[in-house]
Amino acid sequence: MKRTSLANILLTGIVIYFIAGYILFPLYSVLKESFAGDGNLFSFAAYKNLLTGSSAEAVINSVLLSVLTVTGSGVTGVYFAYIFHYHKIPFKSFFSSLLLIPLATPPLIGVVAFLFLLNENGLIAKLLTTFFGMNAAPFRFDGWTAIIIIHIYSFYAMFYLFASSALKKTDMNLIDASYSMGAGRSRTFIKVIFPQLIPSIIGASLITFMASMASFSAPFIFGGSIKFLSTEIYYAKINGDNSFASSLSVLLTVISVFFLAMLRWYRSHKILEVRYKGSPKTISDLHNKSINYFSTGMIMIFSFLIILPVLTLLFMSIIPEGSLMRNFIIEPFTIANYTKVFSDSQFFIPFRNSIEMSVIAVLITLLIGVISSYLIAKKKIRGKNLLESILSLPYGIPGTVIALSLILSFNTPTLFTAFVSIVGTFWILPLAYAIRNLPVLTQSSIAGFNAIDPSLEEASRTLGASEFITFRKIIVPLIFPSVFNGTLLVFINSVGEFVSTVLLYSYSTKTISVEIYSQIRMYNTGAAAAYGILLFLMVMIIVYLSRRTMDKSVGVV
Amino acid sequence: MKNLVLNNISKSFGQTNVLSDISLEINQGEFFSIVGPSGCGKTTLLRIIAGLESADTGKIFIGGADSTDLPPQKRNVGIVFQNYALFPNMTVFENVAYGLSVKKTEKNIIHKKVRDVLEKVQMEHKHDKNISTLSGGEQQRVSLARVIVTEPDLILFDEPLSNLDYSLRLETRNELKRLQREAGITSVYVTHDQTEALALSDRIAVLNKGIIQQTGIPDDIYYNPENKFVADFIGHANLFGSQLCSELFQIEIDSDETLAVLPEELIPTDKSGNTSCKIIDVQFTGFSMEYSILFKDKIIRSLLPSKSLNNRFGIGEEIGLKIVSEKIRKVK
Ligand SMILES: Nc1ncnc2c1ncn2[C@@H]1O[C@H](COP(=O)(O)OP(=O)(O)OP(=O)(O)O)[C@@H](O)[C@H]1O
Ligand SMILES: [Mg+2]
Repeated sequence: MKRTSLANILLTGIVIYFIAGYILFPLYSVLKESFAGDGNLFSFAAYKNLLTGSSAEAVINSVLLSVLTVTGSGVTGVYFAYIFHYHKIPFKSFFSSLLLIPLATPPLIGVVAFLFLLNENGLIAKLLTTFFGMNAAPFRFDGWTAIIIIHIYSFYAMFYLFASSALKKTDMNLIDASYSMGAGRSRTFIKVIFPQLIPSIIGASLITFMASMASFSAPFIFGGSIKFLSTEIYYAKINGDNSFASSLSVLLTVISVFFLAMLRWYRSHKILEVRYKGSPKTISDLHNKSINYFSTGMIMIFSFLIILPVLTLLFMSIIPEGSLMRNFIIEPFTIANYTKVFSDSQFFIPFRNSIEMSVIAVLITLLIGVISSYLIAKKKIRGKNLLESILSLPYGIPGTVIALSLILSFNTPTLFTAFVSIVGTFWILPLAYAIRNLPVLTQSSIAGFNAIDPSLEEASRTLGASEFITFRKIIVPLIFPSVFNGTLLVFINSVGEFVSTVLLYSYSTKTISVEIYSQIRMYNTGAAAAYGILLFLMVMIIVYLSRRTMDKSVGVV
Repeated sequence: MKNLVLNNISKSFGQTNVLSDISLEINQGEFFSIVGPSGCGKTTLLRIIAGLESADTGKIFIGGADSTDLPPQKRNVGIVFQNYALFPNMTVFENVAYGLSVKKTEKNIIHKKVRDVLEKVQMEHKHDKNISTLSGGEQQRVSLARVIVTEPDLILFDEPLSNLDYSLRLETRNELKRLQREAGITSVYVTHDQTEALALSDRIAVLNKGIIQQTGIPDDIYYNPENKFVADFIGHANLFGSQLCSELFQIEIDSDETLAVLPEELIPTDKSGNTSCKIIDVQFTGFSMEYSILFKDKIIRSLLPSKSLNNRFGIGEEIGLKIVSEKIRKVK
C-alpha cells in the first residue's frame, strides 16, 4: 500500500516514543552506569570487580541453579504430561487444573507458602515436634535444596504444558506401529514418543533457564549466604554501588537475552504451539481400558504436594497469630487476620496500591501493545521484525534489572517523565510492571490479529466502511478475546509482582508483595498468610474468568 | 452507457508481471465474466477494480468518474469473496445490515431493506443465526445479500461458486443470475470454469498470463476464437497444424495457421482411404458420447449426442474422421 495515513504515522510515533523512552533509554543508562568511574570518567573498574572474587561465584551459582531447575522441572513436567496423556485416570480435568496452579501463583506466594510449610518453625516441623516428641525437625529447609524444590514447583508446569500439547499432536499410528512390532512401553517411549517431544522440551528449557537465571524471590529468601546474580544486583544497589549493580545487570541481561534470542530463533524455525486451555484429551484410553492405579497414585500424591503450600497458607491465615509458637491444636480458627487486613488502613493501603498500579500497568500495556501489534501484524510497517524483537526484549530482562534501569534513568527529570524525577513515586511501579509485561500483551494481540482473515477487512472496506470503522466494528471484536486474555495475564503478573517492586517501592507505595515480605520479617505470619490467600484467590478467579472467555469466543482462539 | 472502464491497467509484484495493459469497457447492467487459468491475474484485477490493490499504471473509471485513486469505501463496489468473508462476530442480519449501518442509514429503513433482501435470497428464516451455523451455500447467499443490499454500482464476484459441490453450484449459479438480473446491477464475474462463464455472461474476456486474449459474447468466444489459447481453453477445440490438416482432411492452410475444430464438429466415420485413426477411449455420459482418437501421436476428441449416433465404434477400431461445420476456423 502506498498510502501511509497520518494516523499510522502517529501510532508509530507513540510506539517508538515508548520503546525509546522506557526500554532502550533505561537499558542504555544501565550500560553507561556500568562503565562509570570516579567523577565522570569512563572506567572498567566495575567489570574488573566482576571477574574477581564473589561475582564469579554468583555467575556459576546462577548457571548451576538454572541447569538443575531445568533438569528437575523437565523430568517432572514431562513425566506427568506423559502419564496424563497415555493413562486412564479418574477426574482428569480436575487434576489437570490442580497441576497448573503453580503457573499462575505469584512467585513470592509460593516462596512464602514453602517457608510456612518447611521452615524450622514451620508447620511440618511443628507437627513432628508436637506429635512425635522430637526436639527439632530432622531436616533443614534452606539453601540449594529449598531453592531448587521451589523452582521445580514453579517451573515444572511450563514443561507439563509444552509436553502435553506436543503429545496431543503425536501420531498415534506410529505408536500403534511400534507396539505392533513388539516394542515395549519404555522402548516405544524412547524411540517413538520422546523424539516428537524434543522441540517442545527445548522450547520449555530455554524459557525455564531464562526464568531461573532471573528468579529473585526464592534465592532472596532461602539463599542465605549463597550468592546468585539476581540477588547480588539487589544487594549492590541497596549498598549504593550503582556501578557494580549495573555491571552485574549487564552480565545477567546479556545471558538472558542470549537465551531469549535462541528461543525466538527456535520458534521461528520450529513450530511450537501451546494452548493454555483445558485438559489433555487422551486417545490412549483405547489402549488401557482400566484405570492405571500407579499413575493415578502418582498424580494424586503430586497434586497434593502442589496444593499443600496453598493449604498451608490458608491454615496459617486462619489460626490466631503466633499460635504455632504456642500449642496450635487447642486454639480455634479465626478470621482475625483477614479483618485486620481490611480494617486497618495500614494494611489496606498496599492492597489498594497493588490493584491501582496493576490497572495502570494494564492500561499502558494495552495501549502500547495493541497499537504496536496492529502496526506489526496488520500494517506490516517497515522494520516490523526489529520492532517485534525490541518489544519482546523485556521478556528477557530480569525484573531486578528493569527496576535498576528505571532508577538510573529517571532519578533525574527527563523528557519521558514530564521533566520530574519519578523515582520513589507511585508512577515508577506501574511503569515497571508495564514494561515487564509488554511482551505478554504484544504477543497475544499479534496472535489475535494474525488469526483474522484479511478478506474480512476487505469486505468491510468495500461495504463502505472506512479504515477506522473497520477497525472498530470488525477487528476490535475479533481480537477482543486474545487481547482480553493478555490483559488478565498482565494484571495477574503485576498484582503480585515482587522482584522489581522491592527495589522501587517507598513507604507510601508499598504493594501486597512488599507488605507480605515485611510482615514475614516482623514474624506477623497471620497477616502475611491472609494477604497471600487473598492474592492467590484474586489470581485464581481471574484465571478462571480468562478460561471462560477463551472457551466462549468463537472463531479466534 | 459504460459503467466500468479500465484503461491500460498494469501491475507487477516485484519482478513478475501479473497484469499487462488491461483495457475493458463494461456496460451498465451487464454481466461480464473474466475467465482464465489459475494464476493468470483474475483476482488481482478484481482487487484493483475494488481499490484493495493499486495498479502500477492505468486508469479506472466507475460510473464515469475517475476512481483510480479512490479508497475502497468510496467506490461503491461490492465484492462477493471466494471464502464469503462473512463477519463471524455478527449474525446473518447484522452481516447484511453492516453496509447500510456504516452509511448511517435509518434503523427502520435498514430493517426493511435487510428483510427484503434476505427474503430474496431465501435466508429470512435464519436472520438471527450465527454465521458458523450456516452451510456453504447459505453463507454464499448471505454474502450476496450483504452486497446487493448496499445497491452498489458494480458487484465483483471472485469464483463465488468454487467452494460448493457440483449440484449446489448449478443451482446457485441459476439463482445468482436471476438475482443479478432482478437487481440490474453491473457484475464482473471471475472464474476459471469456462462453462460457468458461458452460461452466465452477457460478455466474456479471456485472460491468460495477465493479457486479455479476446473479449466478446459467449457465442462468439466459443465459435470464433481468435487464437489457439482461447480455442483450447473455452471450446477444448482440437488444434491441427497445416501438415495434419492436409493429411487428415485434405485442407490446405498456411504453415503459421492452425485449424481449430470443436469436438462436436468432428464425426468418426467408417474407415476410408489410407489415413488410419484409431479409437483409444470411449466415454458414455448419457447425453453424449466422447471418443478419444489417436492419429499418429495426436489425441483428437470427438463429442457427440449419443442419441444421434447410428453407428457406434468401440475401442481399438480404425475409423475415418469428418468435419461437420459451416466454416473452417483458422486461428493463429
Ligand atoms: N500480494 C502478492 N504478492 C506477490 N505475488 C502475488 C500477490 N498476489 C498475487 N500474486 C501473484 O500474482 C499472480 C496472479 O495471482 P491472482 O491471485 O490474481 O491469480 P488468479 O487468476 O486469481 O488465480 P486463481 O484462479 O488461482 O485464484 C500469481 O502468480 C500470484 O502468485
Ligand atoms: Mg483468484
